[in-house]
Amino acid sequence: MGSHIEIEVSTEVANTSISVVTLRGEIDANTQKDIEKKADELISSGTKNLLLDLSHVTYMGSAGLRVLHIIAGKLMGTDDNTAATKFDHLKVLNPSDEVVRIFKTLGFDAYLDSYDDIDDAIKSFS
Amino acid sequence: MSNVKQFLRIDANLVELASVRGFIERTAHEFEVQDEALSDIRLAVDELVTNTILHGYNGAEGRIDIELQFESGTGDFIVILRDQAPIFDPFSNVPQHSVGEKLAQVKAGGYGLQLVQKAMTKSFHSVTESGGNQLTLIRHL
Repeated sequence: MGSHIEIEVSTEVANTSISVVTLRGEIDANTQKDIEKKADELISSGTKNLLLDLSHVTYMGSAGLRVLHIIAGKLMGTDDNTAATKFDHLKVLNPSDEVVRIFKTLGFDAYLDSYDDIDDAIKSFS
Repeated sequence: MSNVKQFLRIDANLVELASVRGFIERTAHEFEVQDEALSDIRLAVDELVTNTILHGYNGAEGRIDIELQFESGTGDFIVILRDQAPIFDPFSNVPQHSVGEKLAQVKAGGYGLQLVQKAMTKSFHSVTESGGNQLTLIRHL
């Protein structure tokens, strides 16, 4: 049986509206397209800010970094993409120690804010 | 001094990735590999198998052989991947991202091979006698 990812979406409102996408399963080259497709649907329907809850992600490889980068680029659009040095409209919640290690290995943590508390994460979007 | 070897042969299909990771986990536990090293080995193999399926075979049918070996004398965990895709050395031109670049200048790709190189003690490509690719990964435990 191949890798599998379940995706749930909810909406939170603080300073702005945020789509919270909870992922359950493994993020690899086989499941990357499912995440990207869901993000595309959300962005097409007006989502401007996205919080990815990684609490239940049991494996993530470079496909995860790639999909985060692609989603962040789509959320930024073309206007501020050229000057941006941070994923302001995409943040992650509760990545595992293993995932954090991958972020740090490639310096991805410099672009992507990560939170342990969902309230802090929600409030961080402006 | 060579110890137990384990083998797995898979079809060149992304649905096999979960099986590959399971194989790595079972074997690593058998060899009593610690968690951080297990994560590194699993990640590196997943990345290279993905690379071979997507870019080596590029949609064509094919197989990938995975051999795992623990050398107790040196304390090295060795992974050998063999395939019959067109000859290509994935380590010949690994893109490097640098922190602080503007995002528009950073491509959303090339992460996998960088992770492999950083996770492994040594990684290199060679050509087998039958004219296939062989990728050797060594992780010192």
